[in-house]
Amino acid sequence: MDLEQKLVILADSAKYDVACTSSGTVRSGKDGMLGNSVGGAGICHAFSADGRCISLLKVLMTNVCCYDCSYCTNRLSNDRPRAAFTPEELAELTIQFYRRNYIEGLFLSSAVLVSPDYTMERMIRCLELLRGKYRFNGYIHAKTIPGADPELVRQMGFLADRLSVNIELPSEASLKMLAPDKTKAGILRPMKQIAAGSEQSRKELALYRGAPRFAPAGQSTQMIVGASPETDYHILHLTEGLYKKFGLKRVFYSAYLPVVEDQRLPALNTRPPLLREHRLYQADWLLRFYDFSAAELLDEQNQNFNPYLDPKCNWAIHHFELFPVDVNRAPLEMLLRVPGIGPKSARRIRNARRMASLGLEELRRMGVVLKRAQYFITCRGFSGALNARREEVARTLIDPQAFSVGVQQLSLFDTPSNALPGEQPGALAAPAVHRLIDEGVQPALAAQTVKEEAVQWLANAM
Amino acid sequence: MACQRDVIYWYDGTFEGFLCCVFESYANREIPWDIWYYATRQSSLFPGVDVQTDMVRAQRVLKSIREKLGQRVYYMVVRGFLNGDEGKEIRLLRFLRLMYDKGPQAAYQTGAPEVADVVQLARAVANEACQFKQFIRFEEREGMLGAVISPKHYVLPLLRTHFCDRMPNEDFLIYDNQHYVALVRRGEDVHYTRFQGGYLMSSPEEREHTYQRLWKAFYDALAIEERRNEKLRMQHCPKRFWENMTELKDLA
Repeated sequence: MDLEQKLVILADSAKYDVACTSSGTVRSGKDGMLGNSVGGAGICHAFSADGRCISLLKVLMTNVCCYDCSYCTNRLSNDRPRAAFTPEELAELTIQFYRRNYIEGLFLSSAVLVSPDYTMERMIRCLELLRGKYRFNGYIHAKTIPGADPELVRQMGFLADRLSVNIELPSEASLKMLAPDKTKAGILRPMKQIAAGSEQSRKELALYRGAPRFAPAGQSTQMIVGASPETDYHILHLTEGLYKKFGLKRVFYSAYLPVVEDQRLPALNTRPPLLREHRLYQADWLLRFYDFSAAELLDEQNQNFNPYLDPKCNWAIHHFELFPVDVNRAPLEMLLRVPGIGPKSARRIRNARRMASLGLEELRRMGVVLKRAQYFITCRGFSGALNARREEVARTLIDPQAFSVGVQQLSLFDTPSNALPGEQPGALAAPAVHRLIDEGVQPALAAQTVKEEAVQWLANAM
Repeated sequence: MACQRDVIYWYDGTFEGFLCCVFESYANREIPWDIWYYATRQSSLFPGVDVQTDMVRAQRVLKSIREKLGQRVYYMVVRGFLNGDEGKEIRLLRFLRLMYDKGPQAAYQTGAPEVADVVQLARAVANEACQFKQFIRFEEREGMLGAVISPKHYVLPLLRTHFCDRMPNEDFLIYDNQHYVALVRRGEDVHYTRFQGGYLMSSPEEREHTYQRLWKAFYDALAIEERRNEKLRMQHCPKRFWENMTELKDLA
């Protein structure tokens, strides 16, 4: 099998892994070595046709697997082409892609070939070649294999920038049902080990500069959403726990996409719950950058996110008594809670108001988007949008993405080739919109109907 | 106090030339109506003044900016000047005048129109430089890496540190086909060269074709059909970059 075929098979098998970030390490270049790491949010080098970022060469070492997890496309009983890289091939490929500025580094994962230990050894061999023979100084994200020997995890940690262990499904019961070869304990043990290893390495680095760095970019994990019955409330609490207990850098979600037929799973024609995934990411952002806690966003009574409002807006309309806030006085934490004001805008406001008091004109010039924020703030010369009609406010606050069904333009010159191949109208549209479309309603009309209902509901709720 | 005058400063388009315009403005205690670059010469109702580029004056202004206004303001002005939009000069002058009046702290007053203008100029340049750090594609020819870019702003100086740090032992060349300048690095030596009338590269070797094919195969394999979203792709990677990108060239 030639290299191109292998690459296609092993990239195709790895693509359902969500994480593709090169964030978390700053490392400048060194003479005699190739590469550096810029830190910050990392660098995305390309965007695939689905709009997802490609930062790393994301491939599996092999997709030959001895496990049979039902949600996984690489499971033992699924009939598909199989391939394996040799460590040398993959190392050379990484270097050549890196030199051409195609990628920031390597994201190496693998199916379980023979045994977890055997698989890990092959992956480590490849990383050793990169760091040793090729003097590669760029980013490496490696996935540890559940059930592998702790010593191998340790070795991998000293070669990679980031390690990850997938928790796969949000609860032990779902794990037992869908991935019988994996256990919660088997997943959490390496997570704990990595957290402890990073912690210890940080302490040693504080003592002497040359100490070897163990997974300097920390660890991340991912879980599948929509294959099992957990609520958003459950998932968000789990996420918060992972950030707090294991010091994770990122938790990724992946909307379940049926890739195999199985009676324990949603049917093959199920739409991936992309809007739900989107809401989870929004909430995840609120936890990490906006100082929200999971309990503020969802509770026992409201276990799932509102499809029509982003989580921050939803919080704000349930706490109207706290608004409007005065942008010239409110503390940073409160500015961050205003719908439409993000961390960047909030910091700009804080810096600028030291010099002069701010009015709407100044805010606009600073790049603060006022479309939604105007209903929640006061500033110099503006005492709040007092006279705004409730319906008008509702219309502004509602998330347009939940009703986007793609622009359908009719023209005399419309030919089938004008339509983008395979494009799904409104990938993010709310389930209610899809339900109407499935019943035969025109997409635009369906979106309009659902939107009007949502606006009325929100206006009444305010 | 300087007064607004209906006069146009003509200068040679260089940074030093611009600094001399700043000098002129202070020497005559006036703020011109606009500052224009010779090459764009057009007729106008207002009288023009040719501002000669004088290195001594330029150095004096530069020294004053660094010492009196600090690094932050200095970088804002330098970055802002790399911007390729028309009208940047007069905005930079108004900004500098405000800084001299109120002190460098006023640079944080991003709500003031003079500051907001320059923040915007500088941000556009920095953003575009970031995009090229993402989207530049090198090709290997005779052991040297080469890339072509078509930027709106003059971003080469901002790419220089990034790529020199990243590949300390590679020779490379980045050609800006809008400003006809190439950044060339050979061994320890890094310099900018003007290329008049285009630039020809030898055709790539078989090995290079192989890696380009592999990259394209990888790129195509990674897309998930069920999640296809052309709009999102274009939002992250605007079409104007496509023609110079290995994996998107055919779609551009």
